[in-house]
Amino acid sequence: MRAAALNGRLAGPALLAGLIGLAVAAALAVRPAWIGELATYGPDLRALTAGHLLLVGISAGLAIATGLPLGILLSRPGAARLAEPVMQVLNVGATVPTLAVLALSMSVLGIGLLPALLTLWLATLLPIVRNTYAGLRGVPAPLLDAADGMGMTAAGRLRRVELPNAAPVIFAGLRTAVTVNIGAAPLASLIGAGGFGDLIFAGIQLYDPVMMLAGALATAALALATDGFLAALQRASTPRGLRLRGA
Amino acid sequence: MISFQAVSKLYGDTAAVRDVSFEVPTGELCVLLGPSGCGKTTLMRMVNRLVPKTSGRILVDGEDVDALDPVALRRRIGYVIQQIGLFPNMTVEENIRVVPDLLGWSAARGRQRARELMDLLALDPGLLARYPAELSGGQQQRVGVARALAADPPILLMDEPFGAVDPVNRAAIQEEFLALQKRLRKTVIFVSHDIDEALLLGSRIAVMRAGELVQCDTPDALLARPADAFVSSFVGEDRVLRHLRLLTVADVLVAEPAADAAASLRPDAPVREAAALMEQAGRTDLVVVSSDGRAAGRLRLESVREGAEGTVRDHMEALGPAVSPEDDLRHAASSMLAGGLDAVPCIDRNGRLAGYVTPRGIAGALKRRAGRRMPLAAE
Ligand SMILES: Nc1ncnc2c1ncn2[C@@H]1O[C@H](COP(=O)(O)OP(=O)(O)O)[C@@H](O)[C@H]1O
Ligand SMILES: [Mg+2]
Repeated sequence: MRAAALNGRLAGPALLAGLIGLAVAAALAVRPAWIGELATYGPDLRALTAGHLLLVGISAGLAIATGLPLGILLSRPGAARLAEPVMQVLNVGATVPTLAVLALSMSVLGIGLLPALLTLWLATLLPIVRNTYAGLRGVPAPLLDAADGMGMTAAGRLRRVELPNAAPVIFAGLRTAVTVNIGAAPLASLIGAGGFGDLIFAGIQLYDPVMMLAGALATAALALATDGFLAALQRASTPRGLRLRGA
Repeated sequence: MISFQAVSKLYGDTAAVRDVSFEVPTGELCVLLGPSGCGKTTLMRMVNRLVPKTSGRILVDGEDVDALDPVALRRRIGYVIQQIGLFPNMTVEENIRVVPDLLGWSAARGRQRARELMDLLALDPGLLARYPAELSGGQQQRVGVARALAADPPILLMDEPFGAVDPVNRAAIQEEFLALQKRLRKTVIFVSHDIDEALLLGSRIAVMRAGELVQCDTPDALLARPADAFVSSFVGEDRVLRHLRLLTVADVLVAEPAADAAASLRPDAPVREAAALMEQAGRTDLVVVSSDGRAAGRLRLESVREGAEGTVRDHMEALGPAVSPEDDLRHAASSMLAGGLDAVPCIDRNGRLAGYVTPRGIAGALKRRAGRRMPLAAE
C-alpha cells in the first residue's frame, strides 16, 4: 500500500505540462503566424474559463469532501475487514478509462453537467482515498501506542498525531487527484458540459490546429497553476518537524 | 501500590501471561525481567488497559482498573516505550505538554512544568523549541521520560525505555534515572531483559518465563537464592560477581587481627613485636594505627622479617590501597587483586581503620545471605 502512495515531490503533472509547453513552443517556432491567430481566441477562452473552473472546482471539491472522510474511515481499526475489499474495488475502478465512465454515466444520467461531474468525481476520488488510507495506515505504530498510552481519545489521536504525520502522503494524493481531474475535464465537453474541451474537440472536428492548441494550452496552464498552488499548500501544511526529517 | 491478582492473557489458545499474582508497593521500582516473548510487555500493558485481560484483577491504589475509564486511567499513569514514540510533528515542549494539555492545565502552568522537567532531566531548555528529529538518541530518550513525568503521575510504566540507546549513553541514562527515582519515589513497572539493568535499577525484580512469574524478590535475594535453575541461569553463572556489586564493604568487614593486638601495631611499638604479630596472624600486610585510632601507614612483613630493629615507625610505609565502608564489594575485590593483597584495609571517613576486607569475609557474607530467608519488606 505504501508503494501506491504517490510521492508528490517528483511532480509528474508539472513534467507533463512542461513537455506540452515545449511541443507548443516548437510548433509556434515552425509556424510563427499561429501566435497572432492564438491571440484571437482570447475572448473564447475567457468565456469558457468559468465553465471549466466550475466543472473542476465542483468535482474536485466533492471528491475531496468525500474522499478524505472515506479514507479516514477505512483506516480506522474497526473498518480493517472492510478496508482492503473497498480499496480493491476502487483500484479496479481506476483502471476503467475515463471515457468509458463518461459513456456509462451519460447512458444513465443523459448529457450535460451532471454526468460530467459524476465522471470527474469518480476519477478524482481514488487517489484521494488511496493516499489518505495509506498515509494514515503508514503512521508508525509506536506513535499510536504512545498516543493511546498517554490517554488521547480516538478523535484526539487522529487530529493531533495521525493526520499531521500522514499529511505529506495525503497531500501528494490530493495533487495527483486534482491534476488527473483537470486533465480529464476537457472530455466533459463531449457530453455538452462545456469547458476548454469545447475548443479542443471543435478544433479537432474542424481540423483547426490553432483552435485545438488554444484549448490544450489553457488546460495545461490551469493544471500547472493549480499544481503549483497545491505544492505550496502542501509545504505549508507539512509540520515543520516532518520536513526536518528530510527523507 | 499496584496489585496483580491471578492475571492471565490468552491469545487464542496460547497464554501470553498465565495466572500472575504479585504486588508492587508504592514508591518501588519493580523490574519485569525475562527472555524475549515471555509476556513482560503484555503484563505491563494490562495495567493501563492497552491490552485487555482475559481473567484476573489488577488494582491500582486499591481501585480495580476495569472499573475506571481507560482514558482517564492512562492520563494518570506515565508511559515510556522503547521506540520512544515522540511525535515528530510536535516540538519537544508540545510533546512534553501532551498530557497536561489533555488534563486541561493552563498554558502558563504547562510551560512552567516543561521547563522544570528539562531541568530535572539535565536537558538544555533551549531544546524545548526543537523538533525530535533535531535531537540525539539520548536526548530523545530523556524527553520521552520527561513527557511521561509531565503531569507528575504517581505510577510509571516503562517498556525497555533505554533499550534503543547505545551502551555508553545507556549507562549514563540509567544512573541519572536511578538518581531521579530515588528523589521522586514513583511506583514503577520497568520491563527489561538485561539482568545488569534490573540489578542496578530494581528495588525488586519479577522474573518471568513463558508467561509465568517464577520469582519476585529483591536483587540481593534473587542473586543469593535463585528460586530454580531457570532463574539461576538467567541471572548468570557469574551471579556471585554481580552480587558483589550489591554488597558494601561494611557488610563484610573483619577485625583481624583482634583489636587488643592492635597495640603492637602502634608507630612507637618495637618492630619485632609487630613482626611476630603478623607471623602469628598469617598476614603479609597490616595497617599501622596511631594512638588516636587513625591509620598512620602500613607495615609489610617482607621488610621486617629478618631481625629488624627499632620501632614500627622506622619501617612503616605510606598507606597503600584502601577502601571506605560505603564502597561496593566489586570495587574492594578489584583493589585487593590489583594490589596483590590478601586483605584490603577499610578506612572510614575519619581516617580510622574500620577493619579489613578478606576473601574469607566475602565468602562468609555471601554464604550467610544464601542461607537466610529475608522478608521482602526489609530492604
Ligand atoms: N497481539 C498479539 N496477538 C497474538 N500474540 C501476541 C500478541 N501480543 C503478544 N503476543 C504473544 O505473547 C507473547 C508475549 O509477548 P510480549 O508480552 O510482547 O513478550 P515480551 O515483552 O516479554 O518480549 C509472545 O509469544 C507474543 O508472540
Ligand atoms: Mg516486550
